[in-house]
Amino acid sequence: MAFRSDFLMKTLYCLVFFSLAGCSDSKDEKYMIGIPIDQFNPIGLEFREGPEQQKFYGYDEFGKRIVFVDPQSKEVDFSPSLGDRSEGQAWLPGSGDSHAFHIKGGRVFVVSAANPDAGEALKVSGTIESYAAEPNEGLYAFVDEFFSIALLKVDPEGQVLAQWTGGAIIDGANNIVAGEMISGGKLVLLTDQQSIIVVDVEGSLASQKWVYEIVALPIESASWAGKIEGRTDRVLILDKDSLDLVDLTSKSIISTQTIEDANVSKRGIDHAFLYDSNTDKYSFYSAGAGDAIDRHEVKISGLIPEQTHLSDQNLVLTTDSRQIVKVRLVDGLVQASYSNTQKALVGISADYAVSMFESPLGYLEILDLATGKKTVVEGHNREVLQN
Amino acid sequence: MYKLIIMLALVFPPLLEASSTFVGNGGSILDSELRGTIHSLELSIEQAMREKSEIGVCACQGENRQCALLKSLNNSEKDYCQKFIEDHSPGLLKLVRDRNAYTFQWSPSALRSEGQGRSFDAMANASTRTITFDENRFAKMSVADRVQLLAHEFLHLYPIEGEVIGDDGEIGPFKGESGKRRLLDVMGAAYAVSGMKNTAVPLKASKGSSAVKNLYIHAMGGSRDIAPGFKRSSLMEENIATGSLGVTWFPRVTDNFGLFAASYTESGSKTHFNGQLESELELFLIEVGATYRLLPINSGYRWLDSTQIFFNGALGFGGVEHTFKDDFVNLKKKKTLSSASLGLSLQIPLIWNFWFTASPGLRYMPYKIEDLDIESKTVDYTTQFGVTYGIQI
Repeated sequence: MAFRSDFLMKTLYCLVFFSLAGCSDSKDEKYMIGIPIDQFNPIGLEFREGPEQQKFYGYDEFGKRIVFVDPQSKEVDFSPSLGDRSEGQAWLPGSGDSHAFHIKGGRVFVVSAANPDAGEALKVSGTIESYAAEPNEGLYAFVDEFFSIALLKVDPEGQVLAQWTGGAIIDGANNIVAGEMISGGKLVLLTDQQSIIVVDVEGSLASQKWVYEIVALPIESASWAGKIEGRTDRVLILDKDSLDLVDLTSKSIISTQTIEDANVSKRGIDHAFLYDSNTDKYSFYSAGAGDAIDRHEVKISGLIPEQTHLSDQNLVLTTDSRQIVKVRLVDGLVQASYSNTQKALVGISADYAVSMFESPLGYLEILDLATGKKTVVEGHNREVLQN
Repeated sequence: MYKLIIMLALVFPPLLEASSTFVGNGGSILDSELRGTIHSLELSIEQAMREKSEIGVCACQGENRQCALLKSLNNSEKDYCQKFIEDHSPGLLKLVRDRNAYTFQWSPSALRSEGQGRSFDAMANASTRTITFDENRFAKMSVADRVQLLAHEFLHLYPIEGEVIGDDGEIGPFKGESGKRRLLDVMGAAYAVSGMKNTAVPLKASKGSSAVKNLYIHAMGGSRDIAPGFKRSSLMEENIATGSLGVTWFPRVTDNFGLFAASYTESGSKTHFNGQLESELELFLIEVGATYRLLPINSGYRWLDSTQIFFNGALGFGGVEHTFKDDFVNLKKKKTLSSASLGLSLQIPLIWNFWFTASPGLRYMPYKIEDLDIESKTVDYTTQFGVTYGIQI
C-alpha cells in the first residue's frame, strides 16, 4: 500500500527547503473562475502575449503604478499613478493596446486613451479575486470573494457595451465552484452537482439574467477548468482523481488521465502538474493535439515550483529558492537555470523572465532565457518619488 | 518722523564729537580698552589721593612688576614720590578728566624718537598734546601696565611750574640721563598699585575674553532651511546640517574692517520607505569675504565691552554631491557651484579668549543637476552656533 508517500515526500521537501510558499499546492488557482488575481500580494508579474508584442506587467509598490516591460524591445512603460495598495491593485490589458482594466478592490475601471474619463465600469461587493476573459470578443467575467460574477462586454476601444452581475447559485440548486471562459463567448462553470453549466455570456448580458445550458457529467468533485486556446467545444476539468477533456458538443468526457493532488496553472497553456516521489519526477498535463491529454515528465530534483509556464516546446518555472529554470519538454533537458540573489517579483514566459526587485528607485532585470543575457532597467521611479 | 530725524541730526554730532577724542576710528576695540584704562587711572589717582597707609603710596609689598619698581626705590626717591603724589595728583586728575585737553593716536609700527635706537610703548607730544600708542604692544599689556603707561604719558603733558617733564635728564633724587623717565615710571607704578587696592586695577589678569585680538578662529555648526521645491527634488529634510571652520583677520588691532576665509560644509541624509531608500547631500565650499566688526557695548566693564558683532559678506566656490540609493540602485551626481552669503555673528565673550557665537545669515547657492532633476535656486536662511577663539598676531 502506498501510504500517501507522495504526500510524505512533499512534506519532507517542504521541511528541508523551509519554504511554505513552495509547499503550496497552488490551491489558490483551484476553485476559481478563470485566472486568479491577488490584489495585495501577487507571487509574480503577469504576462500577456499578443500577435506582435509581449508584455510583462505588475504593480510597483514604490511608484504606485503598473510597470509594463516589453522583453524584446527592452522598453519599459508605466500606467498613470494608481494610488497605494490599501484597497487592492490589479491590472488587466484589453485586446490590443487601446484599453486596459484597472481593478481596485471590487471596482473595475476602464483605462483608455480614447476615453480617459470612462471611469468605473462595474462594481461588486467583495474584492475581485479572479477573472475569465475572451479579449478578442470583448467579453469578461470578474469574480469576487463571494463568487459574484460580473459580466462585461466592451468594444475594441474599451467602451462598455453591456454589463450584468449574477450570483453563484444558478438554476436554484447548482452551486458554482470553478470555471473558465472559452472561445465563442461561453462561460463554462463547474458545479457541485455532477454537472457543468455552459453560460451564453452575450445572451446573459442581453437578457440581464443567466442564459445557460446544464451539462450532466460524471464528475465527482471538480475544482478547476482549463481552456484550450481557439476551441469553442473543448474544456479541461480537474476532478478529484482525474483530469478530463470534455467535448461540449457531445457533452461527454473524451479523454482522461488519472491524477491526484495535482497543482494547476494558466501561465502559457492551461495545465495541471504533480510530483511523483517514486520516480522523483514532475508530470505536466495539458490538452494535446486531437482528443488527447498530453503528458510530459521532467526531472528537476530538489526544486519546488512556484510558477510554471507551459508552452508547446518548453516549460519555464520559478522555484521557492529564487531559481528560474527552463526545460525542454521532448526529453526533459534543463536548458537553463538562473538564480536571483534577492527577492523579486518574477514573471516568466517561454523565452524571458523579468524580475522586479524591491527597489524604491526602480530596478528591473530582463533575462533572455536562451542566451542568459540580462538587461537592467533602473532608476525609473526617481521622478515619481520626487513629485 | 522728520522731527525725529532732525533731533537725531542735532544730537548725534555732539555724541560723535564727544567720542572723537581719538583720531581714526573711535569705535575700535582699542579705543574701548583705552577708555577703560582712562577710567581705571582716574580711580587709581583718586585712591592714591585718599591713601592713608603707613607705608604710603610709593611702597608696595606685593609681587608684580609695579611693586618691584617701587621696592627698588631708596628712601629719598620714595619720599619724593610721595610728595609728588600729594602735590600733583589733583592736577593730574583734572587733566585726565578733561577729555578735550588731549588726543590719542594708534601706531601700527614701532615708535621711535629721533636718534633713539630703542622703541617705545607710547610717546607723548606736549606741544600737540597728543599721546601715541604702539597699538600692538598696548593690546598685549595687562591693565596694570596700561595704567602705569598712561599715567607716565599724561605726566608728560602735565605742566609743573610752567614746564612739562620729559624723559631725559635728572629730577630730584632721580639721577642719571633717564632720571625723569624713571620718575614718571615710578609715578605710574604708584598709581597702578593704588588702583589695585580699590580693584580699579585687577590684581590678576582677567580670564574673561578680551576683544583686543586681530585674528579669530571660528568653529560653528547649525542648519540651513531649504525651500519646499528643493526638499521635494532632493528628498531631504526641511533643514540640512551645516558646519564651518574659518578665520577672520583684521590687519590692525584697531581695524574694524577685516577679511575672512572659511570652509563651509553641509551634510544631510534622509531615509524613506522604512530605510529602503536613502537620499544624501554633501556640500563643501571655500569662502572668502569681508567683515565689519562692531562693538555695541560701552559699559566700562572690559569683559562685557568685548561683545562683538561681525557683519560678513562672502563669495564661495566648491561642489555638491547628491545621492539616491537603495539596495539595487545608486544614483550619485556631483556639481560644482559658487555661492554668496551675508550674515552677522554675535560674539558673546566667555573666558580664555573664547567667545560663544550665534550666527544667522542668508545663503545663495544656485546649481542644477540635470540627471537627477535637482535644482537649488533660492536664498536660504541659515543659523549657526559655535565658538570663536581670538589671538593677537
